Amino acid sequence: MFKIFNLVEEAYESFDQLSYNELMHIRGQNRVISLYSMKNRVLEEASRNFSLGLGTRILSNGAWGFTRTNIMDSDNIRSSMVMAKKLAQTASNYQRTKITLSETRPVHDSVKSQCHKPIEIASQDQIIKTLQEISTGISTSLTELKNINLSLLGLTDRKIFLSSEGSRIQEEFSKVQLKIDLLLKKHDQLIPFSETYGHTGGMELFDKIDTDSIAENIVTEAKPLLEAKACPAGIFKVIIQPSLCATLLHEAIGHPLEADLAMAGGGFNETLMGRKVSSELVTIYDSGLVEGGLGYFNYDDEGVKCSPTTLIENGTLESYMHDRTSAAISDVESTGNSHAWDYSVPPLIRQTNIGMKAGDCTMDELIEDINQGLLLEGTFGGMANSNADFTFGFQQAFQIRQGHIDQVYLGANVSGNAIEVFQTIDGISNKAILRPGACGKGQFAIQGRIVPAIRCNIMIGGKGGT
Amino acid sequence: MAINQTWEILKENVQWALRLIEEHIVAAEAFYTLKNLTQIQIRNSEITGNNQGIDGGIGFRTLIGGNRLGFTSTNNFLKKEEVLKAVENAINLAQISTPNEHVCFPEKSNPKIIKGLFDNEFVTTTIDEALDIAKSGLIATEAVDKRVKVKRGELFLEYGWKGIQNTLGVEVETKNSRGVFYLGAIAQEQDQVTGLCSEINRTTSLDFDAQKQGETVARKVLNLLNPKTITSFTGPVIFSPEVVADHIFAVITEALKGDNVIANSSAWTDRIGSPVAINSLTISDNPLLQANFASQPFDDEGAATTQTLLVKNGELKQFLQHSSSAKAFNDKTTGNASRYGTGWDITRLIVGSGYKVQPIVYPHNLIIEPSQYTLTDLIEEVSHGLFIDSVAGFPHPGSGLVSAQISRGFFIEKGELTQAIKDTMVVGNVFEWLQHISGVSKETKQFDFCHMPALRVEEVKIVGREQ
Repeated sequence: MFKIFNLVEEAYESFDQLSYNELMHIRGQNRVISLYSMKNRVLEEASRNFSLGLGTRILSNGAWGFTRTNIMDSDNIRSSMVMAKKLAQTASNYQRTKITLSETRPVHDSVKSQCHKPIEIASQDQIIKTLQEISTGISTSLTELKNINLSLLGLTDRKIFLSSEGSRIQEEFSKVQLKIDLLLKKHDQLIPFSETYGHTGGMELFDKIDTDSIAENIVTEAKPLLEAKACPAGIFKVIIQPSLCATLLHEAIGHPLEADLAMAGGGFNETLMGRKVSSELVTIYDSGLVEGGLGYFNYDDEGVKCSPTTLIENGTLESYMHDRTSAAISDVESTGNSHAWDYSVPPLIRQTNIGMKAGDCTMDELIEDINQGLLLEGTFGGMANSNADFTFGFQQAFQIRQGHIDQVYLGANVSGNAIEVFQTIDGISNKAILRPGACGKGQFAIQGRIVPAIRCNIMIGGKGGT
Repeated sequence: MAINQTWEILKENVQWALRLIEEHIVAAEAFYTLKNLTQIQIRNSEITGNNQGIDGGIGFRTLIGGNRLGFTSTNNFLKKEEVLKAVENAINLAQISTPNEHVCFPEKSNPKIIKGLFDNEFVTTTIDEALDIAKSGLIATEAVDKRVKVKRGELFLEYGWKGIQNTLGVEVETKNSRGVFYLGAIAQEQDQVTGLCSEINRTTSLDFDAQKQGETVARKVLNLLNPKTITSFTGPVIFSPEVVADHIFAVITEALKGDNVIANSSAWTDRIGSPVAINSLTISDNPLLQANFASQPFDDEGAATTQTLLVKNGELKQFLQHSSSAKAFNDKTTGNASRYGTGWDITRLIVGSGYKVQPIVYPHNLIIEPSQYTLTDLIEEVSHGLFIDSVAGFPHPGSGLVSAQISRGFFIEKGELTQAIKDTMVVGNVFEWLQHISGVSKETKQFDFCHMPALRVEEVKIVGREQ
């Protein structure tokens, strides 16, 4: 598959210092990132990053040791393995509770995600034409535009996973993401707007949605901001559109249900397992196998097959997202959620494609029941705390009065506690949409989210009157 | 192979590749680093990770006829053919880029010598000694009170080299060491769990007082128990150095970046010579302080760094520049090319930092000048307000809008901190807040890219559960 991995396999096969009760995981990775950045219709950056490296993790006497290197010769790879063992043995002297891992079957597999038009070999003229068409389409329709920045990023990973338990897995996948950032100006006020498109695959992303449609969508969503007033503050009945619900789901529910956070006495602690933690309308899952999702993986970085995991079913807490360590503590199987951003860092529990099951309401039905409320759209990212407190930003809001959309407001942040807010969900739209997402839990990750619109009560930190 | 031998090979390969392509380009630059990294991780009261490794690589920028720029990075630097392939790839990418009349590389300058940026103890410290530091912090935190648990912690030790060569005569290198110790704890009492409360120390020498840091974070998190909801109000708020370094720094930085002024995305475009803050506020960028975590003698394209006065007595004096943005202003670089500053740029976060990216304009060590008033003095003058020690959320750097959840805040009544608060947000605009500062603290704290005091701001909107 990739010839440098032969060197990794040779070093692994010849490593004779592993005791029978020790375990070794090796992850080799070759990554190519292509970036095209167009600022104000000028191609400001065309760049490519090549990286190659190896991460070695050894479990000895209940403790992990991890080393990484990008100096890929046989001697150095071997030294890296020796050091990982030494680090594990040293760490075991400091560990009060010994780490054990849940069982997993050895796997031999080679998988490749669907990619019809790899960005690495795509015509650069075509890439630039795509960015120019979108830039021009937006710029000509928004005269108040002060700045427009498009970043098209393609990432291709070729990975190998070797385990002393007998697994040998090769994976190859490509992901493409387009981020569009606008800065509008009205009466000396700068107004930001951004949107992201992305999928696991190649440049066929722009076959699914053409450049004219992208430009048109952006203009349609951004234009109302030019008439927007400051958003009010207080607790409101709101409809959270999928573009924002993606952030809510990831921050408010996703993070607290990652076992490493949950089992340390977080907001969704183990005493709540099997109990109602949200409105009965809510069913939430995580799955690495969502085709096209930016969190598409066949296997995690402990060699566990990814599969759909129901986290909350009809409001009842059913499972956390697990790696093999947390699964062993809970006496369950790993859910395949152990992922590392790249070879240089050890894996930790991450969401892949987190989703919320669609409900049975049309958008009109969600809106018509609200006498006084807000419709929130677009995301500016968010954060979650271990006690299930969360906050995230929305890009714009529309006032709802007696079942009708009214005044537009500028973006602000919402804040709340997931357990309290999710109890208030009383309507879910009948269509869930696949959205791109990103996360920075200690290390970076790009992920997918499958989300409908929801209706709930939430606190809004707007600058306008209450 | 010893790490210093690896560094010599890296340099040789860079020189070799630049020589080979010289006749095909107008100018070329290599930014290269080699670092030894040690990380100790703490999760849920346990030392769970123990990581070591070497990371090195090269980023090539090439400028060809018609002022077209290309960039490629590689970490496969021991193989000459891979290094050459990378720089040739940068030339190919330059051929498709749009001509930019302002893009340029700096010429040779004379970086100042800054003492105290490298401590050999980072080289000689064993993994046991690093583990002892982490363990000491963990034990000290939980020894304060049995309700306190360390949820996350990380000791990060790094030493290594950074070098820059360009075909205009720049050839500089520096060796430095940096250590960061993060401790994050929660407090639990019956059904009540606080949010995560953290304390971070940054240093260039191995002088961590892990025990003191642990005791500090434990005391801080205990104060968060039994928080109360509050009624919305508008009034005085004291922002801790952490909040200033997070939200206020992000907004000021975006306004001060010369490349943002060119792109019309700075709120301070056309404001040179105009007041942008109260008349006692002075802001500078100073990367020349001895033994300072954020100091560096030259920037990330090899230009000598300098102390730059940005805002004096409330008046905007200067924007931050790297060589290309300075050329657009017909000015000199302020030595603020950075390959580590990211702000909130998701694309840049995916690609990475250092040799993996091109430089952007960014402060090295933004400093709001402290005053003679202590934090206690600032609090004593408030009859009804808040002390905000930590917030969650992202500001809108361009517009200055802040709408954030208060993750650690305390009510101030009659000059005293009284009660932890919950379910509360702080709302406003940093550019307006700069006009309403009523106090700057004497106490300051060092962060990755800034050194900040606490600020007291009048007329800040606070949104509570009760209206």
